Amino acid sequence: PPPSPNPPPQSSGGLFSTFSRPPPVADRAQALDRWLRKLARLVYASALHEKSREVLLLLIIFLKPLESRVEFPPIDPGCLPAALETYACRVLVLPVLDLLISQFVAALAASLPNNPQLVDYVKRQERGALKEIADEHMGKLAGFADQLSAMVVEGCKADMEALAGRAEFEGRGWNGEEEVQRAVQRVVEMEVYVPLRSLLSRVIVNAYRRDDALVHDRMARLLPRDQAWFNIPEGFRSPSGWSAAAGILKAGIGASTLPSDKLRAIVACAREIMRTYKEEHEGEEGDTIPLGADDFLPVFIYAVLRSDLGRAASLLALLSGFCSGNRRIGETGYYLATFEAAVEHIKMMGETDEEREVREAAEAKEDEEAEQARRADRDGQQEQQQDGDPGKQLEALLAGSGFLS
Amino acid sequence: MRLKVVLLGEGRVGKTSILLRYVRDEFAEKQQSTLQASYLDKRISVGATNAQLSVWDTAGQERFHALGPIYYRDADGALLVYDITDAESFSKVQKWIKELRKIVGTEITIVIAGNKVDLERNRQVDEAQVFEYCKSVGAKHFYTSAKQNVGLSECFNDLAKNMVEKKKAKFGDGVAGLGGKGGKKQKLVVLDDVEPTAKKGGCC
Repeated sequence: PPPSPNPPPQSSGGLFSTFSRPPPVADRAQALDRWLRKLARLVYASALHEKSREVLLLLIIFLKPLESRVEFPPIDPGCLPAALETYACRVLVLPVLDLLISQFVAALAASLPNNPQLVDYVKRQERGALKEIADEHMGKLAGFADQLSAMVVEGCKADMEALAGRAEFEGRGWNGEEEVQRAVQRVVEMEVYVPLRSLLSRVIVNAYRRDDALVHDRMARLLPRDQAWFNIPEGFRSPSGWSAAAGILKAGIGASTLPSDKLRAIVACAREIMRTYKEEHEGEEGDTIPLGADDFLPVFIYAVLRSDLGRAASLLALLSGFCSGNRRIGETGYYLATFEAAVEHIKMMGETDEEREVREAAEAKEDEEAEQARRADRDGQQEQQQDGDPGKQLEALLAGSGFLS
Repeated sequence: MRLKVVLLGEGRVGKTSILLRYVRDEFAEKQQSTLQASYLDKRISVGATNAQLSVWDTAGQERFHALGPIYYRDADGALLVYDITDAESFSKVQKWIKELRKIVGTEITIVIAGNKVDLERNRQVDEAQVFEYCKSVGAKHFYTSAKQNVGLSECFNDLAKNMVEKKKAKFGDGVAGLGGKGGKKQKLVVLDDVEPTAKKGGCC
């Protein structure tokens, strides 16, 4: 807009400046998150009050729009998963577990680099060190979440099975331990991952910024290519261009917050490829050729490419950290590995050998320069150059870093 | 105990057919039901141990060769498949083994399968050369035919037996089969608050 003929007077502080510079969005989001958690605990853990129902309804209404954005198939059309999650949630708000979780979250948050430290890492091009920090914290977080989940499953499995056996869930089918684990895992992630999400995402996104840019560039180059170019055999090509599978990946990963849900979207994408393939290729007797890895991988690569994922490398780092234990060996682990293979292949496909050499040389030069600067900094031979206002640099960094959706 | 097995081998040697025949006992070029044929689970008993095999099929085309480590890291065993009617496919097996030993080391159990023995009359791979090679790398060899369901149970049972033994030797008999990163985690223990002990005696 054009400048106002009567600009407001510049304030030298006091109340006006408080209103003109509200707390950063991330801080406000965390405060809201904490407040909502307290409210949820009041509803779930305190004695019933005449207003409890009203508060719960308001909470559900407030949270509903986020849930409804998820377009990929829901966990289950029935409400048993929700009942199991509610039960797990009530277990986790027990004082001893609540204290354990809050202490862990506070300790991990304190050990992550703060914003000025992050600016410093980025300025000094220490992406390798940032990756190590991200991996280390992801490992701690996933390890804690796994152990906590195992403990809750071990302690509450019988109660949850009894819950599943109630008349209202009769005839619905019951996958036993798998369903209990999934419900507990989700709730544990809500309690442990969500409060740390913004801090952790900032570190991961800055650590993998170069990889994300590379994958994004390759995806843009490869997008116009057709299925034949990707060596998808003629008998396996999809007239619909695997658009449903790509849509599930985009919606499922983009619209969900929890790592478990993102992993579930990857598995759902793989299943959609198989469903589409059967629908489009079945013979007169309803038979099709089984889709083995030789044929499946090129199709999956094509679907990943068309899913238009932002920050694929960062996403991969996050999900690899959370896919541990038996999940890493099982079906989820297999499709996550296939997703990783797709991202790696896209990186390699989009450039010629010559281009790769030029890129690697430029990266090596950049790393070498960063190393020299670090060495000089350490030896005290070079004054640290302050170009521009550090406050503005920080703002620019944070504005550009974004979060993993 | 959960065990991860990767199927490696050149494209079209019959990896997917082996997987489907072993896990589902199905073999046909076209099938009514099974579409998911790149990852399958099977529960088996190895002596007194109940094991769940998670079998990962891999793409064998040359252009995907560099992606191999993504699939075989953390694997307890690898079944390397070649087609006895295709000499090139056996050369590829030798390449895979070299790579596996270099990246995963000797902890991984390796079994080699010469598939399509129902096409013995078209054999292109010299048997003596195969046996000599397997001996040199310490891998067991089995002849298989997914089409005629020959040798598959023996092949997977031997693989499973060796994987279980190695895992027990590494983690002890009580191993619950934590895979990948899970095996190294410390156990989380929540202690109840300790009741303050009543002071005994004392003058005040």
